[in-house]
Amino acid sequence: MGQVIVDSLVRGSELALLAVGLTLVFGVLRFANIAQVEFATLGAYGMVLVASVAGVGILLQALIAIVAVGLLAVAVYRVVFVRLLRSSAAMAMIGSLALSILVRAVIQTVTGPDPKELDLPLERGVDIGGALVTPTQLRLVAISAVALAVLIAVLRLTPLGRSIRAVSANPELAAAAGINRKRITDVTWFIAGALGALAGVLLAMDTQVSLDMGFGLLLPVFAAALLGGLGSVGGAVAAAYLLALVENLVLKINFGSLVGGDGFVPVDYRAAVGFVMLVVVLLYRPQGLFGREARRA
Amino acid sequence: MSIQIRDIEAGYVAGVPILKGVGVTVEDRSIVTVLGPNGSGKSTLLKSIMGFVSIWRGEVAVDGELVTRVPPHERTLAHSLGYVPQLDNVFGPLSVHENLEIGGARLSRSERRARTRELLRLYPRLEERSRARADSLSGGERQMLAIARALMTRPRHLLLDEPSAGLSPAAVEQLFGMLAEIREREDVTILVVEQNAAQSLAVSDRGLVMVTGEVALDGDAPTLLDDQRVSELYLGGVPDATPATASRGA
Repeated sequence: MGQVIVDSLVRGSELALLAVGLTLVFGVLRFANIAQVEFATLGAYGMVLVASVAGVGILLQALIAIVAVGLLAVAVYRVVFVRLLRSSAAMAMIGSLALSILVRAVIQTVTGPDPKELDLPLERGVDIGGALVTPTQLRLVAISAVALAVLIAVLRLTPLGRSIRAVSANPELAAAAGINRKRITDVTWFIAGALGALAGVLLAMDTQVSLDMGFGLLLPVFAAALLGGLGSVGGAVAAAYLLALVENLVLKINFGSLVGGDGFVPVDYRAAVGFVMLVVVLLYRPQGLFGREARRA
Repeated sequence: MSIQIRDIEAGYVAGVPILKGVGVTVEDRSIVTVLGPNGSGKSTLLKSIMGFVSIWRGEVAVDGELVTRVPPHERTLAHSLGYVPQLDNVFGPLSVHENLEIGGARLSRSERRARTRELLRLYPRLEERSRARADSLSGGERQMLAIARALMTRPRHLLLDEPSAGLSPAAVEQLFGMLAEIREREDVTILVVEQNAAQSLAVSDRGLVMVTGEVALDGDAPTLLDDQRVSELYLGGVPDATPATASRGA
């Protein structure tokens, strides 16, 4: 059970960063950005690129990659999505799928199809309550938790955070209150891009850098954001960890007594767990596990 | 002159004007009620002052300055406008306190805090519920919060879109009492769109009646209160001649 919890914390940390970015952008624009997961890919490859051209430490590599992807996210919003959103949210969502494919094609053209690895020292795993965990995974969980805690604190306690929540709740009323929606939307895209890149950097440190590292997370990230109630940051975080826990529990259960023989669910089918969970939850709570039903005066 | 709307044509879809050459002048520190049947363009009039609809012809001036090309978020502070829409007039997921803070988003931190405290003192019911989510408030409390939020920046002009909609009779009475008191206390001009003609005109200096995107009647409030056609218009009728006791739209 200890290993399930550790694996769930690691997986949940990766999913939460991406799901929160997705839900933040959805909140202010009412559009689900499929390319959100590619910010992870860009963050990881960005770190590889920085490492190859600049002799700086790993922290600075990560920071440069994260900030660069945040700024790139703002640029992509202004150049691509502002126009598509004038048409419709559905058009923007389709555009984000195209952008997602384009990002991977460009990276493949520039770096080639082979996975990359960051030049990190090998570290011995440690035993925590019978669960094997690497120091990198501990750092991953801690950094993700700190990043999410800081973000939630900013959203709850600062004027900028309140403005993001206000635009998310009611854009027209926010404008009537003097809030510049364009500026808030830019900031939100920067946060979404930076969180996605952070997820990619942490994944790259834990595993490797590959073209489909972001796209492989698309289904669970969407599942987490939807389960949490689109637009709800706290909901997305909680749903990401819950989803990761259910995924890992399902992988550990031997369904042999039901199907005969070896009844373990292949790890490649892990994403299907999120999908099933999503369908079941949405049947009974369309607003998600942690979302509130819309109420009007 | 406080708010001047000059011959505007405005709407949401190109080629389908909702306002068809509307001209209105709202004098400083007056309360003006805009009446009219559903679909007559009352809410669109307020939205065009705030910049939420496209104006294809004409112009809007506030205190003598043209605002037609000014983005909505700039009008709040730069032109001292406060706006309370008819629906979704609070930030539901945010607390009462946060709603007020958002209303003062463009103020300095100390000004924002002081004004929030002041308004919570003025509306004790909001102070009691300051930590509650806005979407958990009753209709009357919600309306009180929406108006208080709009007052955060001490606007010189307050635009209210059907503030009495959906309120109980007691809450409606309280609301109109509140408007008269706000005008005195805040020294503010109030342009209020209403269906509740009698009670709104009772606290107003002037009234307008809009029909199919045009100003059909414009006169002082007591005169309009006595005008038989006001009630007829409310039932969807159209005035058949130039009003005798009230003048045509400005």
